[in-house]
Amino acid sequence: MSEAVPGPVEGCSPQAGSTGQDGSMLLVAANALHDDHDTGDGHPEHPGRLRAALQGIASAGISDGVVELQARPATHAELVAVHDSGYLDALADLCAEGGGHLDPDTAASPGSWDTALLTAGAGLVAAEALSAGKGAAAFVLGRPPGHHATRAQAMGFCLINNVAVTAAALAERGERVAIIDWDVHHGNGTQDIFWSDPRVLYVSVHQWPLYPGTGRSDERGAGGGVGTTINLPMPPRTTGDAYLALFDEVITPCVERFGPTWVLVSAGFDAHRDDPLGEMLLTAGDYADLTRRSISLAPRSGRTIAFLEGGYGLEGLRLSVGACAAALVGQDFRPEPASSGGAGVTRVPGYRARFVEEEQS
Amino acid sequence: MTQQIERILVGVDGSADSRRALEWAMLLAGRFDAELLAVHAVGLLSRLGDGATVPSQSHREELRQVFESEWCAPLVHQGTNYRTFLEDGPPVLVLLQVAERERADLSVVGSRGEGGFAELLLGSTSHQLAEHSGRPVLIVPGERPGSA
Repeated sequence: MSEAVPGPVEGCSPQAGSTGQDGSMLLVAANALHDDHDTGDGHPEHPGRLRAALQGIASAGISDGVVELQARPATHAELVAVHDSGYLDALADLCAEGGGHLDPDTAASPGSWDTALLTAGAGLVAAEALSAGKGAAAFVLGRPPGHHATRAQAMGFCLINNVAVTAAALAERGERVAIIDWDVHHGNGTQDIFWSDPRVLYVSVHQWPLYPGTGRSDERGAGGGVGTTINLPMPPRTTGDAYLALFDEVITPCVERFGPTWVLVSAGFDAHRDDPLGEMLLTAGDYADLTRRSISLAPRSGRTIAFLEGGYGLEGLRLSVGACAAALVGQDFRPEPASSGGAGVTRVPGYRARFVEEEQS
Repeated sequence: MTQQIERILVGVDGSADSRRALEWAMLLAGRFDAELLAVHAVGLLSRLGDGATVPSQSHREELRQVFESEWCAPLVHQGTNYRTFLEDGPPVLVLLQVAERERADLSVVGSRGEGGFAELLLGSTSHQLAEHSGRPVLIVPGERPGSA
């Protein structure tokens, strides 16, 4: 396998390749060369994850159709749309003072602040490039992940909520944003940030019970945001057939009813069968299918961005990111076959009755 | 004011500081004839155990076994009336949620938890708990050189 990754391209001008014409390119916003977020020895969220993810894209047979975007740091104004200013100041100060642990799971180092700003900014760059018609989809590959970070709290390996920063920026432009979160853990931070916001639909499929303990199906939002939070907790050992049934029977009709103009995916790959932090049984082939379903929810090409969240088994991460990246631009790369026959399928009719049929009646 | 102390929450994680907190909670529960609520927060890293690369699928049950049979063993020996709570999340959030849900009259925690971080960046779990809890919190320091 080649470990070569697409080289950076000045600005974001796509170069036509064998995968397709302009407009069918995959824009990859990665900050692997500026990854100074050090979580300490033995921590599963480490820079090797990003290298594995980039190797996955390099091995997916789409390299000619990939353009790398140059990330930029998110600005204070862009961050305070989703985080408290005091929290941001404290995080910046504490990184400058040498870093340490934010909770028993979550660490920051002197370089974490700048790295987190670049990862958050990568999503914004991706949205800007897609808005300008530069590609079919984008994949933000950065660290640290984001979906556990709340307005004022770092947790679950997350410092800045990357997908939320981009979703808020799009919503401010008048867009309607659907966030599909298939990380094995519930994205409590994203849910909290958009809990009362009717402009952003948050849909999560996650293992239950599992960290962080949120994401029950009766958590539906508040105020104007009632109904724009949809949680679909699934049992351990759920397989791809159940995930696809959820997409076809529940998620797709719910998202179509919302009518998004953009689809953002919190793409964690820790529901892979080999992941050390989850107990689901997905394969790289399943992630290809989930990606296809997700991009079909967007109103047109160029309106889907995937954000790397979790995924801690390096080989499973590599294969799954490759499958996801290929599917983002309509290519088929399945280094592992799809899974079926596990748990979870029996949950689907109940969720359909609750989230689709009751809403229609 | 007549303040009844009927339920005392105590954070339990197997650390030396949490064992001291448990001793104080047991002492207070005995004095007030209160029920003890023993709480353990299951973090993201807890699944990895002690360096195991491929954790058992039954990790949660193994953790529950250790929590209930080992860490809570002093409660059994003393005959304290208690319940256990094994819940997912960061310690400070889990302790706040259980205290609120179960209407704990007092929360008792060690000053340093699992991992022994002297001060977390934004305050230790015990300090954050004291800051955010609307209910009384007792922070029990660990044994220090020269302490009794």
